[in-house]
Amino acid sequence: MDVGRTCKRTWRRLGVPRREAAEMLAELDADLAAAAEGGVAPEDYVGADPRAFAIEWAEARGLVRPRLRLLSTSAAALVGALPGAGFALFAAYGLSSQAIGDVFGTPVRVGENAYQNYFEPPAWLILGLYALGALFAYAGALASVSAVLRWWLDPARARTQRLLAATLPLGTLSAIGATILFAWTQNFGTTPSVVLADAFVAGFAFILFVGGIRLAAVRRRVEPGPVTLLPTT
Amino acid sequence: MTRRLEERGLGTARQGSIYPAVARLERNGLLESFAQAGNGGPPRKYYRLTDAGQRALADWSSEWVTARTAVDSVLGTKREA
Repeated sequence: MDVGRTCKRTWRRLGVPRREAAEMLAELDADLAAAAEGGVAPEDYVGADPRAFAIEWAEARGLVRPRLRLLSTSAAALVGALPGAGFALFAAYGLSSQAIGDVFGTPVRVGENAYQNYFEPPAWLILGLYALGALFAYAGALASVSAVLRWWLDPARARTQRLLAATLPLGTLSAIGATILFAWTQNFGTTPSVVLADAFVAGFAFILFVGGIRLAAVRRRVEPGPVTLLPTT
Repeated sequence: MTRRLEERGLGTARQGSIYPAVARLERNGLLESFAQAGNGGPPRKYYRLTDAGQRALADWSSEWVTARTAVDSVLGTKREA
């Protein structure tokens, strides 16, 4: 295990300034070399988890300040929610499509000696699939944001997650409301350009909401912990 | 530092945990650091108490003596001067 390399990588992901990271690395390298002369292995010196050691040290020095990362957080939430939203769209339009009708539908007379299969989905099925789609979108957005912030070892990840978990349904409703309002100004048009603009408004409102939540999570001041020495075992 | 703690029978602190502890003390203005050339190796970083650190140490020592005296009197243990 290369302790120095692990620490360096961890500090880079945490956003520790290069100068401070180089200074800490030089100090650690010198001490590890001295410890090695005394027969102490690096992992015994810093503990079994060098990454945790690197995070704790950088935090204690006040070098870990959560970055806003508004764009990556919002984009992650949007991308994570897309599969669920796609699932709900399928419930809205796909179930009544000809392809589904061919498989699950019943023949309906459409002309003289002409029949076509139609599938009329029951309301409970549509509502159930909507709910499932919303659940997928919610879980997908949270998981996606968590993954992105975890990669950056973000110190405000837990708070961002908690706030998002509590407010995301409201954010989604706001996005839907904004889209309906926009669609109303366009007389609920269904031309490709209007539908595209609808989608843009929905995505933009969602991104704006997630960005606001992220801002609130980062703005909260985190107090440094007390001075402690961890036991050897 | 950990070696000295160990020599005095307090060898339970992991060496790596010294770094965050010292960093917090330095950040709070109780310690200051300086580099000094090693014996042929790279310069080592050393720490010394600031004036505020000296005062804090005196306060903490006084608190410790008060607490130890109180515990001694409750337990009825004698302490050698």
